[in-house]
Amino acid sequence: MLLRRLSRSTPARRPRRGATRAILALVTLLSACTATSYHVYQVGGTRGREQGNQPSTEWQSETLNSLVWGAVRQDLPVDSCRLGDGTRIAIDEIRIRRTVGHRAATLFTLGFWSPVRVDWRCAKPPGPRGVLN
Amino acid sequence: MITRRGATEWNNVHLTHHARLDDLISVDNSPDSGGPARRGFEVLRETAREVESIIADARRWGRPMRGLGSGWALTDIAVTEGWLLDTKLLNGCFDVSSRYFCRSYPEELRPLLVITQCGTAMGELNVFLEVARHPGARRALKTAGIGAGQTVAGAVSGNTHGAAIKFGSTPEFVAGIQLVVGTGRSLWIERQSRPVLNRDFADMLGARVVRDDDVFNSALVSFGAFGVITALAIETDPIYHLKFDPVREVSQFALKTRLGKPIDDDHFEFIFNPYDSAEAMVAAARRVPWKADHPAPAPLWIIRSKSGFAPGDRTAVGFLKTPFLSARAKAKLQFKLYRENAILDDVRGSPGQLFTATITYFEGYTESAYGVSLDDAAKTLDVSSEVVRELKLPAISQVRLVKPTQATLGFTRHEPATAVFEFGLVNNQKFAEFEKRLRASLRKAGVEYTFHWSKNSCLDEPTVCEMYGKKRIDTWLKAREWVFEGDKELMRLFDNDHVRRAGLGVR
Repeated sequence: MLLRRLSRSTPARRPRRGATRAILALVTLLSACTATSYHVYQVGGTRGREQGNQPSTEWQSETLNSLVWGAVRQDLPVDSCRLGDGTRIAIDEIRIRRTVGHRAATLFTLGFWSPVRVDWRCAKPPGPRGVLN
Repeated sequence: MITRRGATEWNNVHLTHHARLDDLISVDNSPDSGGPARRGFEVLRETAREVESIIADARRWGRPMRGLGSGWALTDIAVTEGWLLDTKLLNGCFDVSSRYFCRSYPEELRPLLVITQCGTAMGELNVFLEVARHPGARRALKTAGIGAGQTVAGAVSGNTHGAAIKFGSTPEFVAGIQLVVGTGRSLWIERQSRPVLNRDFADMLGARVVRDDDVFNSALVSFGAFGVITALAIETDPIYHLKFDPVREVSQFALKTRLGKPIDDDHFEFIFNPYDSAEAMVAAARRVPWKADHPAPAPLWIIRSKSGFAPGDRTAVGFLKTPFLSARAKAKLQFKLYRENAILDDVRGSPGQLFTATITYFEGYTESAYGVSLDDAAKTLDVSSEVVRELKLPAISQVRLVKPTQATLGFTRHEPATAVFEFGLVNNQKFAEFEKRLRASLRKAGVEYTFHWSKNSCLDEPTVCEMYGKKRIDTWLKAREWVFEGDKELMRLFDNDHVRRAGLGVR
């Protein structure tokens, strides 16, 4: 009923070319943004990311989801920070990223579903030292 | 031990290259499960054995492979789509007992020679050398790049240069190379003209001794194409300080005049703004004695505020792409920011205290770098500035001077010293266009040039031939074939797109 009233009160108009372009630009921008991380939080490096961050591994990534307004969450067991013999090594850096897609998912589900992308890399253990003799 | 992490997506640090790997493999120094920790020679021997076994597997499965350091190269030189062998956990550093030196090697230099595994980061190596228990035993690298995050093998193989005008670039401090090529036994390579370690040393490594100047000089800058460098013998100096004078802001006319005179400094670099002939600055340092009580200088390249706020990964590129702001204005601002945050100014410290940056590079950003003779530096300043202005690139240039390298394909080969020009650029089509026009302009001006192996957009076969000449290339190719004992199938494992494009692959 309300919709019908609204449609009656709004005269049908052909969308202007400028408006079409603006919508197209917005859609393109949004699609690009969905895959791009704009909000990045980085933790680690003994003196920040500019100094001393000398990791032992490449970056690894997982998308983690929080569901039902946080009642159910997906944790990330980091089992990759190990040497070949199983010795555990520390995490060097963590990066948390949210894409526009992640933001949109949180917004449109009113927080029911909230995904983030987590990256991490492992720290270097001290290397063997001594005298070759 | 070996850890196979499986198929994965991979990016270099600067996100200029992306690859889908068949396998990302780590090798570390941990012992076989339950065994005692590896020590001394066992570390080096077992690493070589494990790398050898991976190469044998790669051959069996027909997968190309490559050693990976810190992934700092901006080009695809370290990229493969097969197996990438992550060496960062191979970070052992050792002194060498006097009994393993050749008789001809001077006694006084023996405590200054260290063996480092390939994956040791430059920052780690600095700590090993400079922070010793006994002050008398402190040592320092003879030179270093501005950053400290590269692995030592990565830095050497890519000809990381620094600005040591009296010494040279990182390959110059290497005296021996342990190379694993997949022929069943690792090689210990030295120059015939300068033997360092004796046969007993190689026997303890389980390696075959190779003493050949051409093979050594070719393997130095070989960017992973000669197999996997697992360890290096490097020569260091007793610890010293570099004392940087206050930065001199000069006109480009004055700078060019200065470049025409003898340079007595140990470190020399300058920065210029291609849009303003009044804007240039010089940072120079001399070696002075180390002072134990001298406080470490504040680190450079810190972009964070005290409360942790810093530009985001895309901020730099966002700024460079900002519309309604001219390239000239952007270059001016960059020059100002560089002056404030990135240049060593009136400080004194050891190499490990001064060259510390391990910054995560900005996304969408890349660099173009090339070496020319110091005699051509003034001309190159003008030529490159003109190209930058023609293309309206928002860029400034840093230039570092180094003594010529002995590495066969070292791009810092120019006499009497190499001036390395670097431009930070947005990673788009203009990057390649810049280098294309620059090459044409340098050629027209009669300037010989060599592009940095890790910072270019354009190394194809004719360009490489133009840069190094047939004789050097043939020497390098012959040395490569020699270390692989002519086994083309094995050599092909270490070819990648970059090597093939440059005309250095298996023929």
